[in-house]
Amino acid sequence: MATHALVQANLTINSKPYGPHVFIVPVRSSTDLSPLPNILIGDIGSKSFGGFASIDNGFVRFNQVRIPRKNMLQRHSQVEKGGKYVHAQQERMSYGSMITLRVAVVNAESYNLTRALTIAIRYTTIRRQFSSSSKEGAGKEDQVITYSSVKFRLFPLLGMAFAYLFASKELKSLYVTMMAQLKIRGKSTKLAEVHALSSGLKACSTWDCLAGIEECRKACGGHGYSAYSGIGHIWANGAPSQTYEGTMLRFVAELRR
Amino acid sequence: MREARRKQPGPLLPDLHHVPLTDYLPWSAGYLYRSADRSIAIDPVEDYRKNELPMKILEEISRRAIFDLERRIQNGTPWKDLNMDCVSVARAHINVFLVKAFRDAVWSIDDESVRAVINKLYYIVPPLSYV
Repeated sequence: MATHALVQANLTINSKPYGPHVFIVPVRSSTDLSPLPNILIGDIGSKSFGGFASIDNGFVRFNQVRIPRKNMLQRHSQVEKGGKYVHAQQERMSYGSMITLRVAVVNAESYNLTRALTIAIRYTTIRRQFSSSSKEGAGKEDQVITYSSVKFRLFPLLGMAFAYLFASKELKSLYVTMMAQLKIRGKSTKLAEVHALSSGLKACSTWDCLAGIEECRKACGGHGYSAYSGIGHIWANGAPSQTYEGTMLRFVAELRR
Repeated sequence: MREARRKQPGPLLPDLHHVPLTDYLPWSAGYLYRSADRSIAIDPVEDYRKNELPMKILEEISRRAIFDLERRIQNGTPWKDLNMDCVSVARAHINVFLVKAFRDAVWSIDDESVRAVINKLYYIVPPLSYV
């Protein structure tokens, strides 16, 4: 159990808001782990489709909790003893780091699709059904993957998985360049491009890969719906990626900018 | 430098007042400055796999999506009615980026046997197979 939380909260000094900042906040007693006064802690409960079942997602409510000034993460912007706010010299750095997760999501979702494809392609290679031979009992039944209706569903998805993997590598490389420029110069020529591409790729990759994973499940027939296929688990854990960090429609609108 | 420097406005850009008219477009959107092929002939059909035709087609789809959005903005269409147009523009541009990244990756593969297999997948990746 965590005794401390990283809390993003609005910073207000003398009634003037300075926007969200990050604070380290003690939430539980370090001796008996009970919640500290005026702090309500709980678990949000089960998630849809059984996804993220092994991960505890909690909630916390603060009621008039005082956070000492020193608990604010002050690498960039700072609050001095007298309450004077000092702006970050490199304000774009904090924005740049927000893109980190989007870049990671594109990569993670393309790998999820490759995992589902591996299962589906292996299964349809082993699974045999019906025989193209006119003589009954003339030999083994045909491998399911040799049917064009299966090939045409799975192989384009394999191409798409590679496309997103390569695109995520390209995006990562742009992102690394951008962060290096921000660190050294405090500005980057890549910021707008990385913002647009990470928004668009995050939206499209999560949308396409999740649809692809579902197609893999269907290609495995009834066995694909069994929890033992492993595809359901991949889908359930990938499903929230369409909404966390922003939905498809929100992000593609970002790309337009 | 990967950015496409803009010396002269391209054929489409004078209409795009909402595209930031900075000194350059980022590398991934550089195709917007190139002169647009208003008609793309595919003859014979085998040509589809040559001369980057698939890429040109995707770029043209993206250009036209942006052009259509710009025209609707200039016609005074309320912003809330343009959401799906924005989605179309975003999707079209991401398709260009996706396929370009794939194509560049295929070209960078040294192993001939691996490249041959991946290259087959390149032509059936959904953005291209939809074209």
